[in-house]
Amino acid sequence: MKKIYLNLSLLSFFLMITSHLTFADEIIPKTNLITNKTREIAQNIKCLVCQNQSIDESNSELAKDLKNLIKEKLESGLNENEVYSFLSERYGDSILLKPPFNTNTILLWFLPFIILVFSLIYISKFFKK
Amino acid sequence: MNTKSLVLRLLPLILFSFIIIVSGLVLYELKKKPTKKNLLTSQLIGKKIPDIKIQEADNNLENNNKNLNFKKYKNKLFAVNFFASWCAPCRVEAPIVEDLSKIIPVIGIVYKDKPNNTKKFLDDFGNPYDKIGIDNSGKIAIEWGVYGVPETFLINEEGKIIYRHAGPLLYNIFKSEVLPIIKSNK
Repeated sequence: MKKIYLNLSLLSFFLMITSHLTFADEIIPKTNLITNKTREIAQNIKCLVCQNQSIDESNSELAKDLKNLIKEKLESGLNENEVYSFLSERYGDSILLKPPFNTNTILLWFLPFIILVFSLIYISKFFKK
Repeated sequence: MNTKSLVLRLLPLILFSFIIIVSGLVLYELKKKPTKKNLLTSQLIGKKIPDIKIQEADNNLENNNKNLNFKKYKNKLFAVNFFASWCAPCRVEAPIVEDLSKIIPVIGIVYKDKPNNTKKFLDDFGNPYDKIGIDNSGKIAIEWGVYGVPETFLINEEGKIIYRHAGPLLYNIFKSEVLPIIKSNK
């Protein structure tokens, strides 16, 4: 009997969680989702006329225009990656705060690890001695 | 001393040399061309002009409900200049744009400006533009990869962007960069 109660309570808990998630998906308006996504993308886009700021943090004209354009692109049905490609096609990969992994940036991504590995090997060998 | 320990002893030196060589190569590449070019090279060089509708301005610099037609410039070398009346460097480059317009047609894109102010600007500094397009929202500028005004592009006979200059077009740039490109493409 105890086992049945336990199973029932687990099942109801599971149903409650899943129904809540489904409900949450339905009640969040599309505009809010787009606003959130715009913000998320804007946080990864460098403000080209500022120093060390994303367009999300910047109040410059270009940053505002870029945010509006990102929102419009999302509303027109473009996905996140398509928006990033649109921007890097016009301003280069340097507009992305997180550089993409490609042949031009391979050294940028791997050099710190290579140096770290070699340094660790060296240090361990040095102390073994 | 065996080979292994020798390599291990030389490891910091190898690493240090590697970093110096890589940094040297990067610096050499940066020094080879002027810094400005490296920092603000347009991604659109060699590509067709952005396929976006630009509203054309009438004589009063108001929207005349027509789109700017680039077909007129097919098989021609022409320039596109983003400008605004509120932009001080645009005043500096006005005489040079005027000179440029005597050699090739120049299309002006007026960026986030009031028609009255643009009209006054053109009355005061001259109107070198063959046609003027309107970019009130800044979207056209983004499509062209523009950072801010003024910016000037050269477009070849195939409709491809072959040159971009961000900032005011000064005489030294006009003579050393723009004129040679025009000569080699004419």
